[in-house]
Amino acid sequence: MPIIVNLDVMMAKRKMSLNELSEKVDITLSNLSILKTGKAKAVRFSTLEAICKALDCQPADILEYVKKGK
Amino acid sequence: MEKKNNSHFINWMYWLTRIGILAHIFFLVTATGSLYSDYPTPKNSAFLVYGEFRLMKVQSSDKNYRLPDSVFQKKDSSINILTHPKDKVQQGLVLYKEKPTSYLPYLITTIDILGWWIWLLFTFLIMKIFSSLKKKIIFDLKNINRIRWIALVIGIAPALKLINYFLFANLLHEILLTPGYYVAYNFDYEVLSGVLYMILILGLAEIFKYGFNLQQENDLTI
Repeated sequence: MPIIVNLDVMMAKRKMSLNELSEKVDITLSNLSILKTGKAKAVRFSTLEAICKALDCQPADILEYVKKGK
Repeated sequence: MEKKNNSHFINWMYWLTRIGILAHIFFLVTATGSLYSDYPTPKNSAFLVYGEFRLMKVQSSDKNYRLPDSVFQKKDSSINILTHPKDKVQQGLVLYKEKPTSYLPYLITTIDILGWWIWLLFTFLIMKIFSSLKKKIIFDLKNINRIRWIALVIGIAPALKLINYFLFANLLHEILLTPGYYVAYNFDYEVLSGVLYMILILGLAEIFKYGFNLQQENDLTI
């Protein structure tokens, strides 16, 4: 998919583990893992808001658009 | 409350299909065995073939033409033919006193048995579907493929019967002399309803596939 999820990069920058983030955002570990690995088909605005709040970042820091073939 | 009743129904159906598949296997084994033993055959017959056919009258220009007393005149005395008229359709049983040399009787019997056993796949798939419903797995790719296989069985089984009747009529052509008559194969209209049911169930499988996509989209929305 041309949308890349850079959640792991932001988590590393904030030095936050997956467990910690799942507790703060109130999402199950398996769902967070689906999001991190790029298997998710859609993200709710409420989830995005909670992640941005927990990591203190912008949505653009987590999601990135890359053209196909690059 | 309604959900509880529903799960009861699924539970009951699950056990019913489990018992059903055992009963089906038992029936098939006995029926296949009886084809060679319990059928109303004389003790000296070596092989038998069953089928249905139609006797068609030949249009004769000869006004003095008289039908023989016996419609069937056998070419070979080592073969007995029992017929039971059922409306225009005749049910025929060809009994061989010696092992037939032609491959046709064996082919007809094999297709006949295959036509019975193919329904076991149907019962098995129904059992698997209820087994997955019991585990609350509904919109699953495996279930969709099972529904497609069910459609295939429903379409193929009557078609096999039709092939059998066609071959049976050919067999009778080989061994019978029928003055004034000719043997035509019995076109079983069941094959048409089978195809219609197959299309219906394939459509149902497509609806399930759409449901599966919706379910997956819902599951993968974080």
